[in-house]
Amino acid sequence: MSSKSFVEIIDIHKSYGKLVVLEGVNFDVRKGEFIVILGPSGEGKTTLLNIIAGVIRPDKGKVIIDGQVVDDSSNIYIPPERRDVGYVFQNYALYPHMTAFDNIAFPLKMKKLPRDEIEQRVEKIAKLLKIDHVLHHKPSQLSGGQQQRVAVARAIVKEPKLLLMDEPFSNIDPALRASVRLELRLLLKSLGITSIMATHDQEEAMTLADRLLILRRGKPIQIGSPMEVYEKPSDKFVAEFVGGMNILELKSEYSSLLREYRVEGEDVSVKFMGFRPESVIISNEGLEAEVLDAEYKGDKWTIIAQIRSGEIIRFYNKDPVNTKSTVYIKPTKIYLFSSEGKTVKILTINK
Amino acid sequence: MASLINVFLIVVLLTVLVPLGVLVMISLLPPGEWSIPPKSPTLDNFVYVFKEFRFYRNMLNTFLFIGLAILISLVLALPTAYAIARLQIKYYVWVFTVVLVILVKSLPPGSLLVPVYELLWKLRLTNTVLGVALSYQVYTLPFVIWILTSFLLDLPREVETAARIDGAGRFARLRHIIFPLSIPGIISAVILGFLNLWNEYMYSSVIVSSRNLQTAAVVLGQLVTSEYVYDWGILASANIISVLPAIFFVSFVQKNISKAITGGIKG
Ligand SMILES: Nc1ncnc2c1ncn2[C@@H]1O[C@H](COP(=O)(O)OP(=O)(O)O)[C@@H](O)[C@H]1O
Ligand SMILES: [Mg+2]
Repeated sequence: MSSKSFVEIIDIHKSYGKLVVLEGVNFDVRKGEFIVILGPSGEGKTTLLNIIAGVIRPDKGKVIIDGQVVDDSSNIYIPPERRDVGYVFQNYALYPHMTAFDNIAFPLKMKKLPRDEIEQRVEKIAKLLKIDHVLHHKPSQLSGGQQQRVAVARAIVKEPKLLLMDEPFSNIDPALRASVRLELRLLLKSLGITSIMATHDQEEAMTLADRLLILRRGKPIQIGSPMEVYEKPSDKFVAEFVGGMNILELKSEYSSLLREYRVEGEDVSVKFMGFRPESVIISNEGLEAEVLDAEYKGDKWTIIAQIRSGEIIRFYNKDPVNTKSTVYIKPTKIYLFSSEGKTVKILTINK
Repeated sequence: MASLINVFLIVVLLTVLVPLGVLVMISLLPPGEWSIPPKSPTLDNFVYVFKEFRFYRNMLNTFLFIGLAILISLVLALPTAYAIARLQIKYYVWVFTVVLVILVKSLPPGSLLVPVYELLWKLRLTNTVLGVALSYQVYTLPFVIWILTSFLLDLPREVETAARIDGAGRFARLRHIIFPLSIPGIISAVILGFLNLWNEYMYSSVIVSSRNLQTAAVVLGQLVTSEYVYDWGILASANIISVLPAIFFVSFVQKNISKAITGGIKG
C-alpha cells in the first residue's frame, strides 16, 4: 500500500453461515478522497461499511484507519464508539426522542465538550446544511430531505477521521437527488472529509466518486476513477452496469463488421462484443437492425432496435427514426470480452 | 347487529353499575337504618372510616408497597428485557425458560407464598415495606419484563448502532437512548402494576402482621370478620374509598392503558 493511503482494507472475508458475502476485499483510501462502493443489492456493501465502522467483525482480514489497526479479525478490535468515524445510515437512524439539535449534538455530548462549544458547532454545521430553521423539530416532524441532512450533520459534526454513508440518497425525492448530491459533494470536499459511500445507483456513483469500487460476488472487480471505469471496464459486468453497454454474443454473422476493426474470426478467446449507445452512428453499411421504438431524451433520441440474431440493442441518435424501418449501424468503439467476461480488447475506428 | 351489541353492553354495564349503586346507597345509611334508598342519607360513615379508622393510612401503604415493588421490578427488568431483546440467545435457553415459566405459572399462585415467606423471614424482612415489595416481584417482575421486552424489540437496532458510532458506551446508550425510548413501556408497566396489585391480599396479609403496615385490601378483608360485620355502612364506605383511586387512575390515564394493553399483546 502506498504511504499516502489513509484507510487500508486488507483481504476482508465475511460469511453468514454458508452465505459467503465478502471474499477478499482489498482497497485503500487516500486522505480527503471520496470512494463510492458500487454494486447491485445484496452484494455486501452494507456489510463492508459495517466492518469498517466496527459494527460487525470480519472473519478474516484487517482494517487500518489513519495508521491504526482497528480490526485484525483476531485480537485487535477497536469498537465503533472509539473509531472516530461518522456513519449515515440508509434509514438515517435518527434518535426519535431527540430534537434535530440534540441529534446533531449527541456525538459532541459524548465527547464531553463544553455546552457553548457544542451549541456553536451544531449551529455552524446546521447552517452549512441549511437545517438551522428546523433544529427544534423532532425527526418525525421533518421531511425526508431534512432528515437526511440531520443524519449527515450528526455524522460530520464531530469532524470524524472517516465518513461512511450507506445509500444516503435512496429516501430522497428523485427530483431533488441531483442537487442534494452535488451540495453534499461540495460540502465534503470543502471540509476535506475522507468518505466512503455505498450505492447501487451507477449514475449517482459516477457523479460523486473520486474513485469507484465495483463490488461483485464478494470482490472488488474494478477500482478506478469514473472515467477509467467507463472507458476501460474490466469486464462485461462492469461495462453493462456502469454507463450501460450493448453486449452481443459473437457469431459468424458479425465477422464482416469485425473485420473492419481488424479482428480476426479465429481469435477464440473472444466470446462477446460490446458497444456503448453513444458510440453508434447510423450508416449505410454495418449491423442491420429493425427499429422497435424511439424515446425522446431532449437533446437526443434513444433508439431501441432488434438485430437479426434477435438481440435488442439501444443507441442514441440526434433525430428520431421511424419504427419498423431498417437501419445499418456502426459503433465507433467496440469492446471484446473473453468467455469468462474479461475485457480482452478495446478497438476504435474513425468515423 | 349494532343494537344487539348495544343490548349486550348495557347488560354488562348494569351488572357493574347496579351493585356499585347499591354499595353507594348502603354507604350513605346512618347507623341502624336499613332502608334502600336511605331515608336520611349521611356521610358519617366516610368520616368515621377516615378519622377513627385512619383508612387512608392503609391506602397509603398499598400505594407505597406497589410503588416500591414496581420500582424494583423496573430496575431489574430494564437490563433483563434489553438482554432478551438484543442478545442472541441459544435456543435451548429459550426452551428451558419457556418450560420453567409454564411450570411456575401452572402452580397455584399461593404455592410460592411459603418459600417466599421463609426467605423474607430469614432476611428479617417480614413486616417491612421492602419485604412486601420483594414478595410482589412474584406478580410484577414477569409482566414488567414482558412489556419492556416487547417495547425494546420494536426499537430499531440501527438507532442503537448510531449511538455507538456517536461514541456512546454501554451505559451511555442505556441512559440516553434505551431508557428514554422505553418510557411509554415503563408507564404501561406502572399502570398495569397498580391495577393488578391494588386488591392484592394473599402476600400482603401474610407478610405484614402489624396493623399500621396493612394494606387497604387486607383491612377490607378483615372487616368482614371483625366487630364491624353488622355495620354495613362502614363496610360499604371503606370499599368505596378504596375503589376511588382506581377509578381516578383509570379515567386519568385511559389512553395509556389501551396503549399498554396493545403494546403487551404485540409482544
Ligand atoms: N446478519 C445477517 N445474517 C445473515 N445474512 C445477512 C446478514 N446481514 C446481511 N446478510 C446477507 O448478506 C448479503 C449482503 O448484504 P448487504 O451487505 O446488506 O448487501 P447490500 O448492502 O450490498 O445490499 C445479503 O445476501 C444479505 O441477505
Ligand atoms: Mg445495503
